[in-house]
Amino acid sequence: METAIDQDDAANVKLKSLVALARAGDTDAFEILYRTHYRQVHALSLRLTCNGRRAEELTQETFVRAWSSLHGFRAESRLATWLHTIAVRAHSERERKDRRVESREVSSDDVDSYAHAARRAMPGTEIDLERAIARLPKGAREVLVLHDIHGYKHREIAAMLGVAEGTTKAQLHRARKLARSFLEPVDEAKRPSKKRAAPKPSMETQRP
Amino acid sequence: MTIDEKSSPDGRPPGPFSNLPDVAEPSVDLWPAIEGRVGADTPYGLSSVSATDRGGRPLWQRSPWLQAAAAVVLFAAGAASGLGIRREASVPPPSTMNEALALAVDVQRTGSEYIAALAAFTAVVDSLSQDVRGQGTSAAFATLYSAADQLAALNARDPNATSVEMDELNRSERRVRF
Repeated sequence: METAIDQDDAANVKLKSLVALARAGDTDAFEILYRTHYRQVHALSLRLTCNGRRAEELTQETFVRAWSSLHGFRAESRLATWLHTIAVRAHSERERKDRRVESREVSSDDVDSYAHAARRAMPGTEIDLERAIARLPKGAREVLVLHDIHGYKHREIAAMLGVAEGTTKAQLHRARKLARSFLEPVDEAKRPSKKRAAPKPSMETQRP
Repeated sequence: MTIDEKSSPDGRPPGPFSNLPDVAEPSVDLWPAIEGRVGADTPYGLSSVSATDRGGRPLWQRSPWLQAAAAVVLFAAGAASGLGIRREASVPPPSTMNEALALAVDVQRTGSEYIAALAAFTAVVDSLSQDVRGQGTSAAFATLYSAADQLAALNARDPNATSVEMDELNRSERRVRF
């Protein structure tokens, strides 16, 4: 137990030293920080963007922003948490910018290509679950990934996304419900037939 | 950006998604591109801040004495950063905790020496007669205080930075009283 605490302390001291060096402009120290954390950042980027190329751009952007904002990092928080926050915010900014230019929706082709990219980047992943994640709406997907995969608490996610804690809880509930519906096999026999169902009166028929 | 959350991810909740990997490998090494971008960026650390940051037009343009004072400050800054570059070049990248610690201490010491040199310089200027010091003092103090602020951000307990900041506080209090 004591040894584990000692190792944690040693790791913290090492991290603080590397951050101090990187702050002073040492790119070698920053490279060590990058090499230690890029996999965690890239996993989040991949699930936020649902696109291999965009994920790599986002990971790159996250570390460039981290370099410029190192003076704002306090060692009380984990560096991974801080980097994830930067990634989430950079992604939101990018999405807002893109939405001005084009309305991008995740098509089934996008989902397929994302699932393959996810399998390549994370060999142990389950492709059906990745497909379900990719099909979720943006807000719900962000919360599900941060909570269920990266293990953040609602308080932390709310701070990262700049929303209320209640919103993240509602989004998680919605995300899980939707994901479950994507994962359940469609049983045609149980589904109410459109032909048999009584047609709803249209606006036209209600008119006198 | 100032993001400082004390908490951290602590255990994933049970569920189908909790077994998914939380690390991923990009298809290419992203570091060369990142290095290219951060290398072009201004490095952080001790750098002089323009006098306009403290209000008014650039002080060094106001008198020859002021320009001389600015030249001394620039020389001190250049010497300090030159020392820093030489040390950085002579030491290999930190591969162990001890090396990283030694480098961090080195950076800290260089910054501390820079502050001490500037403090000595401003003390000399401060001791001269009223008509000589003029606005040159302001330029030197502006640089000293901005450097001390940066050093305090690196290490809040650095004795030189603390003493300079206390001095700045006392001076501003005196100005308020007048």
